[in-house]
Amino acid sequence: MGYLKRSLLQIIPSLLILTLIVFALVYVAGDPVSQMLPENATAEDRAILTEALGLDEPFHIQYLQYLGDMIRGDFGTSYQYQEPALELVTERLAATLTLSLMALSVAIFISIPLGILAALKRNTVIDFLVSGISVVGKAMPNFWIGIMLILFFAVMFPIFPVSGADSPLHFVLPSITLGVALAAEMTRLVRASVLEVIEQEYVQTARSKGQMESIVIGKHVFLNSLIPVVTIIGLQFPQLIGGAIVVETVFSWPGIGRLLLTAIETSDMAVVQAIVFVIALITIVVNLVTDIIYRVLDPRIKYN
Amino acid sequence: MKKLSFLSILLITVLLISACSFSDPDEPSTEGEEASGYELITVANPADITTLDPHNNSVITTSAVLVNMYSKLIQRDASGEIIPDLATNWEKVDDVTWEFELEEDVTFHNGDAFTAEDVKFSLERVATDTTLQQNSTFREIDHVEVVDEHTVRVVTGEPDPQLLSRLSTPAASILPANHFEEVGADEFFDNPVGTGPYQFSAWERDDHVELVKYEDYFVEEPKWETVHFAVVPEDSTRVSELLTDGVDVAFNIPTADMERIDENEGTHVALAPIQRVIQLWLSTEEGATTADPAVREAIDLAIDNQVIIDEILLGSATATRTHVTPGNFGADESLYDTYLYDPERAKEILAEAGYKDGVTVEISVNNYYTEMAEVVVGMLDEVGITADIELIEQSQFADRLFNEDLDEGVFVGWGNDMFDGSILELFKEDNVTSYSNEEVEALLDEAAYNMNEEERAAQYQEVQQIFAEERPVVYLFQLEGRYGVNDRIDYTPRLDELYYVDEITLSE
Repeated sequence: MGYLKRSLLQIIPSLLILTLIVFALVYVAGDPVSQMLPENATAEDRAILTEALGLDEPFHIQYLQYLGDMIRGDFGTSYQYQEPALELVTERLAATLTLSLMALSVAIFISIPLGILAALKRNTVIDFLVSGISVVGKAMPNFWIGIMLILFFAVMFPIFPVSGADSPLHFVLPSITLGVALAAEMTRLVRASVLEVIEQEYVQTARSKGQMESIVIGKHVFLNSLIPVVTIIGLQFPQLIGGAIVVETVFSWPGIGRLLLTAIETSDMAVVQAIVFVIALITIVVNLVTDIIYRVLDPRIKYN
Repeated sequence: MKKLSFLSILLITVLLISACSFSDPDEPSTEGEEASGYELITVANPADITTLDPHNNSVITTSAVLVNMYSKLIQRDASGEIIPDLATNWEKVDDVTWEFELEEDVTFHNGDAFTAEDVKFSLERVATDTTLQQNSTFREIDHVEVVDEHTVRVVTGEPDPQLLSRLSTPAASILPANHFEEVGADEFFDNPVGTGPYQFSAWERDDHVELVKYEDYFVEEPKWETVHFAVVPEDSTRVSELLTDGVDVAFNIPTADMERIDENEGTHVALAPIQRVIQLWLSTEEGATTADPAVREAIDLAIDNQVIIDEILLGSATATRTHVTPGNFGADESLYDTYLYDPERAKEILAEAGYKDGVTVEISVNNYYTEMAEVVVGMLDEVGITADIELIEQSQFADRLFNEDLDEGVFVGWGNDMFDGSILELFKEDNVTSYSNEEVEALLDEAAYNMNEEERAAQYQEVQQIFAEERPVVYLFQLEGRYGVNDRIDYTPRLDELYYVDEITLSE
């Protein structure tokens, strides 16, 4: 428990520094007022709105004000939407998390069988084919994959809907788009990991006892080669959410990625802060969970 | 073997998903009655609406949706003419007072009767609350007097020749006073009501807004049962939705897809001029290369407007030498649909002005217009003007523009929400280009308060002629809105880029 407590305590300074950095970046990047007013607004109009929003205060006053409110659970109000920023984020969070989890499932679903296959057929045509495919998968930008998938599987052969998030069919193309790069990376990792485990003495022993090959692979090799895979899932999950920004735009997916994009374009400080905060929190939680899964998978790992 | 089982699992999963019959919310059930075709219309916009509050919005894609829910006293028709909405008649009582007679027997979507009190409440709300984005448009209004239940007087602080323009913008929407004050702004906009042809049904954030027919609309029975404004940010996805009949209208399609949409069976492209004029602002501040009128003239003559229109916009724009294009008050049509291009003369002018080694100009541009700006740079280079482009991301661009922190040339696209010559005030004293001309100041000052329309139009036309001569800004062209449209409907886009859904009908 000591480990958990220490990790949780470390979160607080990290988040504080994070809010400061994000606040400073958005502050420097632009001024929301000029984008909120109609085009024929005058300098006087801008001054009036700036004052009404409290944006004429110096940086440190604005930041402390923001921080004070945040500690009380108030993440500020979006200039664009005129609604509490946190509410805007939480109502879209489920869509992004669902997409990310689906993409993760796609990645696992593709990479584990392919990785094991490549390892077992090491240095054969199959192995080269799998390695080749994963290089290509990693190299393709996901917005391009998305547009191509729409073109082929929604326009030329209308099997799936083009965009939106209304039914389970709508999940297929975005999940594949987001999951492909991760699948490619994980395939190579699974392959390497299986190759390493397969050389271990306990696997040789199992084989020499005359156990069936499927049991050797399924019981001894598979589980033990999962540890690095779990690591990469933990590391990649925040990146998956980052990738969701692009994929959500291509597929009109109503998640936080698109909200973030618009918020940055319009210098909507409160929303940017709230999203970065939530993503940071998710990252921290996922990392903790990864650590715990480690322990379950490999009882030799101890935390002190 | 492993690969085989993997494939079979994939196949089974896909089959399972397809087998589950999920009802598509885009297709309302029409069981038991014959479909008329007017069940549902879907319009795809690149951006979601930002708010349901018409007084706190300055984004056209949001206004384009809200105009179907709320009415105003007066409105503009497709060509820009002011026509009645909730007001049947209006007249000027004196220079600061306008009287409006209101429609009787109008109800809001919640059943409340519409009266003069609602007009007073709505206009005074936007005119007095400085936190509202449209406050700047209505600050001229001093107060609104209720004469009787169906007559109001709008009183301005100073004579305001633009009052009718202001009152016909979507931001002058009328809200129900009693209901609004009873529930408060937050609750009101959770479930807003207006007097428009369609009433609010749902807003799925970043997905779609759904409006449904309001049977008691005071003008006539609205045509469509349900209206969806879908949000499809990615251009190519919006086009794909159109090609697969997912949407009826797709706004802002890329020029590269125009041919594909026209050639596809069942869709076509509709073009219409919009208020946005692409222009190059040139600094006249001392020390700037462009402070020399000869350099500004050479820049104007070096640019072949039509080539940019034909090559980049595939014809979807009209060359202009003024910002006040037809359909706007005070337009000088002699400066529209024309441009100056004479590279040889440009070279001569530069030589006569003593620029033997050429001229260097820096131009700021935001990410929307980079491609056009690059072509302009090439054209300037032909006559010996070396232009360097500074590409600035949009949110920073707006900020730096108003802080006058951009290069001597600023490449922008600018609209005109008020449909009025007063947009020329962009180049009034202390403007971004430092342009200063006493005659222009005097004309603009007078026009701002001149209640004589004829005189006022002449004043703006004179300013346009002076600008064409002195060139604090080189106007290039007026853009056209590009819409992909399903052949099943008949849709003519509007100058103001708003969708009045009831103007859209099924094709014959």
